[in-house]
Amino acid sequence: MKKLADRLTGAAVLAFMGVMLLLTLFHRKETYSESEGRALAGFPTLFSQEEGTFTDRLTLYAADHFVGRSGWTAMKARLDSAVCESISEGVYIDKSRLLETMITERGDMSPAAEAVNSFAKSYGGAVYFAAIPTSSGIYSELLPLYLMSVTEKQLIDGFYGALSGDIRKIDAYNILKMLSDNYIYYRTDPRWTSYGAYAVYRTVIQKLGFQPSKFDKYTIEHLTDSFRGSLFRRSQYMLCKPDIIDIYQYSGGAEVTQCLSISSDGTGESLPFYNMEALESADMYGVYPGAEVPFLRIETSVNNERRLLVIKDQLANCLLPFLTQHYSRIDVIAPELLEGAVTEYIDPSDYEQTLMIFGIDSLDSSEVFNKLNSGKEN
Amino acid sequence: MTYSSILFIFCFLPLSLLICAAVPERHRNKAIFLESTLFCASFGLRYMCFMLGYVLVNYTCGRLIGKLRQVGKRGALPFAVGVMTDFFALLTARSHLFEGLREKLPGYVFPIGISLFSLSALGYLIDVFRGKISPERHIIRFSLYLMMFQRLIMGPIVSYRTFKRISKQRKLSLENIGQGMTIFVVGLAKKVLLADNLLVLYRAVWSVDAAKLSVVTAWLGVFSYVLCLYFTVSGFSDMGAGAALCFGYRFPSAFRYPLFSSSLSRFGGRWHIQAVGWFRRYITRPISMTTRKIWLRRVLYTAVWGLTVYWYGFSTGSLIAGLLFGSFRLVEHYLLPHKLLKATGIIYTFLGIMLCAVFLSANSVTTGAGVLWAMIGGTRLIADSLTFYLLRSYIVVLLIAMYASTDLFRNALTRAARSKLSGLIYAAKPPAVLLLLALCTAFIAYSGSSGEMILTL
Repeated sequence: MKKLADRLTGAAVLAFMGVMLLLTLFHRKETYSESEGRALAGFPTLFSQEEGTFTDRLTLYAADHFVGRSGWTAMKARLDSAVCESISEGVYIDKSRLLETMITERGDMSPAAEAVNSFAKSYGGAVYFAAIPTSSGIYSELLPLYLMSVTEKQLIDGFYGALSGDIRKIDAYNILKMLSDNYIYYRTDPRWTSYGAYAVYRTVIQKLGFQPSKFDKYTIEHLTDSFRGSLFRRSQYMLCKPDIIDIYQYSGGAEVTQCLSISSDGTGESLPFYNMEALESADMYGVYPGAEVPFLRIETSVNNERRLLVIKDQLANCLLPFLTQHYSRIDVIAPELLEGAVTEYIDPSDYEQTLMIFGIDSLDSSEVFNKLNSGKEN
Repeated sequence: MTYSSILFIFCFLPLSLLICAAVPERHRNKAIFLESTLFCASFGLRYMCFMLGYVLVNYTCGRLIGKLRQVGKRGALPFAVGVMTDFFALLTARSHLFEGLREKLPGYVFPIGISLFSLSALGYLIDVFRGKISPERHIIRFSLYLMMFQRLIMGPIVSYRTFKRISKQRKLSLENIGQGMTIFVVGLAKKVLLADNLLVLYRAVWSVDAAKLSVVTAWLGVFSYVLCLYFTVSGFSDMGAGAALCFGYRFPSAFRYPLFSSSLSRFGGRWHIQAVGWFRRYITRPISMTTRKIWLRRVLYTAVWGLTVYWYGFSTGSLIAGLLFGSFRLVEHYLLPHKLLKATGIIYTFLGIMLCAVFLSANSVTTGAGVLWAMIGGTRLIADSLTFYLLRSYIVVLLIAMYASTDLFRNALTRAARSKLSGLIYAAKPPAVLLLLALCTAFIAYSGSSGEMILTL
């Protein structure tokens, strides 16, 4: 009896291993994971310049192409949140939302502050800066205390303190914090929603010298209610409701007449203002203008001949539509996507106002911020 | 490639088993040797070369000792060379004193498992030198003793004589594979399901400044360290022993449910049996032979415990922990009344182990002292919000871990197997093992492996 049980166990385990091995070897290998929204590891070559040993990369490859990968990960997330601390693959699983927990690894933000200062110094007009927290910063009380050695508020305050006095700082943290009962952040993604962006826009545009558009003037269009953000993609936790992506249309106001992606030689290519194709991809946030475009020029029917320079990262995209009611031309630069320095594309002195919007996670990248100046220093 | 990785479980292990089963019995040693070389190469070609060189040095020294010991006492020379090489390799890899040297070596990689196979090699050389065994002539068989992949990471340190006996009794059968896989999966579950979660808990507590720790949190942190250490080391030992049994090698298990022992001497006898036994066999016994003074033997005894635990951590804290444990055992030896309630025994053993673990787990002696201070209420804080959060989050894991670290489940199974329920127990075994393997797979599927260790041996 015991022998039979042992033999059966041996056969069952071997069969399970064998089936998993064969399925993994012979099922069709994807190069891109839709559910995780990222490129999967390719089969490693023996001699490669990439980081880690051959085995490390082979382990990654095996994990990426392991049969039923997202199912296994989802199972882990369910178990983790049910039995253990609700953290799966670095994602904190709360009843209401998913939150990033790998927030302790942020680098030094002072190089970015210095770069912004020297940009502002050589620039004639006014510079406005908005540093946007992530959902982990706004909903930090949901996270276990030991994870938060430094709060995002402290980080932003420290960063603002390092900026020179001429730069007008927008206290996005407190604006968003006060509205934290509203749908200002996605449940499954660390980024803000259009409503969160609207709340910050109200303050931003007042500082820039305009009256904000009233909320009830907008008609809100739900593009989708099945957006699952990067936190979902990592944890595969199915019980958190998917998110809604909204666009705000201002009825009876100015319209976007042209939207151009301008390359380094000055030629422009016309783009739709909202990129609806992004709704078919994993990262639906790409629907907002400016996704993956290094230099975007938005021209509107506003008749005031005013120009605004926006320097931003990808997080800021959903705030751009609100600005179109106030300027006849908005030039949007994403330094992380630029090939060279900002000044190779535009002359900042053409603009009387510059608005910088960055998520807190971009602020430790000195590489991005050095592009603000490097052209001049050379 | 560590045992707890997708690559090992679903590719290397079944394929190497298949190859081994396919070749005829007389070539199996060679097959396992080649597989082990490949396994070593998966940690880097340098590591593979190091292992092959290491095996060659010890093999040659063993042979030379065997030849020269017939002629006067000239065997001492190759013996000294071999022992010094092994010691040097061990210290270079693990001691802080050699940090400078490690940085200077171009492309240095940590030789995984060096703490264990260097003890094996030293034991072999000593046995050959003392004439207890004749040196191994067959280099493949000898190389398996040091680098066979099932023993490499944390395999049991058996003497060469035992290893030879186990190799001789090797039998590749489906029955052994079933038993081996059961042990392997249980070890995997210990590492992936319990130790990994406990490691997060331990790190969460240690991320707090010791001066701000509340009493309960500090106890929780040290307790999670003890459990995590036990489940990591015993998990890897089980995985190694289980994988070996799949190939027919029946190694002894390294732990016998030590954690809730009813006395410290029982704990000492059940914890990492072969490693602790190695120190007794090769250090305590020969040295204590040289003296008849009882007090000197006691001092020696304590010092060797210090050395044994030092071997785990190679830090001042671990030396202190070992000396503490040795002295506790002496105190126990002299003061323990003959009649003692089992519960009382379990409690004081537990307290003693926790006290040692404080120093073993801390990076420095001052941190250890700080944590100890917090544990006895020095911070004037019984519990805070972190305590409740951690307790709420980890209570299930902690309870499961505590249960799993006792022999209650095994005893219940043994009893049931003797009763009328035996058929049910046997029928439940294959699906239970499969389910456990599937659970572990879910936990490592995302990153592909769970290699994070509380300590590297």
